[in-house]
Amino acid sequence: MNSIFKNLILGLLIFGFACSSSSNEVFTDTPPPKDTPKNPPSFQIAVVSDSFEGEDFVVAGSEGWNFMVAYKTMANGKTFHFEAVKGALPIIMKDDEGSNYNIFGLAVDGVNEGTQLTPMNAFMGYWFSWGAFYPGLEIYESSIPLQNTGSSVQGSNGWLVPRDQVIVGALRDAIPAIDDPQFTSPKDEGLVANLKDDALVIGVLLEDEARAYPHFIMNWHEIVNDKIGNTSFSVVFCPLTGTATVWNRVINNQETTFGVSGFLYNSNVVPYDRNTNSNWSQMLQLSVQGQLQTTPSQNLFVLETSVETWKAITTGSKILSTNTGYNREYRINPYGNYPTNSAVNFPVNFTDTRLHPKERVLGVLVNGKAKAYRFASFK
Amino acid sequence: MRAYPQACCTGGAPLSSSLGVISYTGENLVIDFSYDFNTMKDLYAGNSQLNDKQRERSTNSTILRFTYALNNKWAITTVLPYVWQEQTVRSNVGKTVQSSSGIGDIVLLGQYAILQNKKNLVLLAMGPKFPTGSTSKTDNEFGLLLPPDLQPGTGSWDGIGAVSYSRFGIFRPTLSLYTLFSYRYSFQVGRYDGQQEYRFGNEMVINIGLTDSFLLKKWILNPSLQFKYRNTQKDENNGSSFPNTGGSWMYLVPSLDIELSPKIYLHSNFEIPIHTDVVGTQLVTSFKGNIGINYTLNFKKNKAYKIKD
Repeated sequence: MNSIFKNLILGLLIFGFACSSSSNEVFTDTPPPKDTPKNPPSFQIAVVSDSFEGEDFVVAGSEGWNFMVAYKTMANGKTFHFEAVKGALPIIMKDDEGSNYNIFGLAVDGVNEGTQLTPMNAFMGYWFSWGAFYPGLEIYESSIPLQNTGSSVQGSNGWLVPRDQVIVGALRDAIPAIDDPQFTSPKDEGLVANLKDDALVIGVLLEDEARAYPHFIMNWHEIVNDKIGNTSFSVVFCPLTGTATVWNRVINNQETTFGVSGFLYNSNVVPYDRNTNSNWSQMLQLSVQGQLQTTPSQNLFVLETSVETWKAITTGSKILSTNTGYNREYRINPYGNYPTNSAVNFPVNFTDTRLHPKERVLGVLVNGKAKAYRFASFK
Repeated sequence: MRAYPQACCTGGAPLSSSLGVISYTGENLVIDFSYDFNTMKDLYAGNSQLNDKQRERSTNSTILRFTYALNNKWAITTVLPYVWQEQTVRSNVGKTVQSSSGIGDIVLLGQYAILQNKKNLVLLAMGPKFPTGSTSKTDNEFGLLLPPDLQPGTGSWDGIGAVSYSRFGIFRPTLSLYTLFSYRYSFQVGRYDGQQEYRFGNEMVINIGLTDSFLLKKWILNPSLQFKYRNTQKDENNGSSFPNTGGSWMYLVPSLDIELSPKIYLHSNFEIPIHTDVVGTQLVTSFKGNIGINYTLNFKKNKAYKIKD
């Protein structure tokens, strides 16, 4: 996986759309509360050095800029210590030898210029989903007593997860993946151009090509099968758990595409690969049923931030067009106010009430265990 | 988009057209057998139809209805549906089909004639809908529980009430005005071992139309034309509104009854959508119809007069 990260700089950016009480305003989503005052240069950026399951890493985050990223602190045989850099996006931190690093973990100057930090396996998601998949997970700097510690679930009936807990939310491909994505300039298409600054998109930076996948389109399709250069990948987004991941589409040396099976496990999307029809769990990051059962997904870097941050950290980015090949009312969030209410639509194995179920947290995964980081820790 | 709107015919009988709120003659047993079909392949966002033919859904039901009139004022009706449902999704990589069938939810209605004379008829009916339909049908490939909107039953107890008013002999002796207001109140149902508390939105239906009678050889033809308005509230899931549920629909409903004899008549009606306004995005009825036969057993030889629903 390290080689993938070293060869690719893949930024996955998810922007939060402002909730609106006006029927004419769209793209409702769940941005975190902003730092006050709302003055971008004043947004705080903070870094925390942490260790989990024997892995040392740094997490950089900003509530105002709406991102959290995690990188291993060891690179080029050295272990670095970092401090935050404020007001200089895309630079977010510098190491103890004076080199500055951008949000993608690349040293852009100083003695370590060109050093690429290795991203941790981490992505954003609603709190309830982390509690459901990783019961009793630790929250950074939290004194709230743990819940559901030590619980586990067993697979059944040919699934690695309890088959009875797999819910049919829709029929296969009823939520159509985008297989021929078209991209537009942010200024060229009405809906895209009118995105609010705190709207969420998913973005990719690969071989100097930046692409962003807005939530308001992903809500309707959940998966985009795309390719940049020689890298084939699928952007997988689950509106119910608020999780976005990017998976390599080459599995066992064969290129495939992913589709939406319509199944849910722990209220989370279950993609299927079209070569073998195997079913995968997005948050478990492996195939849970079918010919490829137990095969892990090859995860590419995931970053979550706002449109204004995305604009600040990339140049010439293309954004996924609403010309998807499907006629949908993209101005409407098909899940209504789900991103901001407290409802969990489908059953989950474990319920952890330490945080609001829809609080977006960064989950860092090491050795099959997760640790959660809140925006509140980066003020 | 994941949602379980209770379409016209999901989860049991297509109630709004099958309640049989009409006048009955005392000490008669009326048996009605009908076939109802509902094709849904139009995708709507609000009141706009989307150019999308990716999904199609069909619901076919046979409905056996027994009504026994205790006297000219009181009657009791039971509606026994059997439901076949199929949903098809087409994509650029193939087609997925899921189907289920089984006994639907049974309805029991008590009916009372509040006002009954040569010019006017007012009927009141109410009763429960029982959760007799299966909610545990599974798919063939994985053995997974099918979504609620593909189950023959809803799993919930509902309360149904209806009031109808008919005015006879308007403009000409055989022309009648018919109106029906019906309401279904749904109670909450636990799903997935109680992890999901779901409540279908309440449904209101208003029918208003004109019926006339003509003689054709030995048969009496009763054509009618109705306007139907249907409104459902949003479903609730664990206390919150469930997206893509609820809305308003308007239909034009032409129908024709043919009285073959005083005891037997054939009936048919078709619902043609004329306006749709749904919450969010929903698959809606493209075409719906019902055909059936009605037989009356006279335990007491009195002539009944019928008013179509």
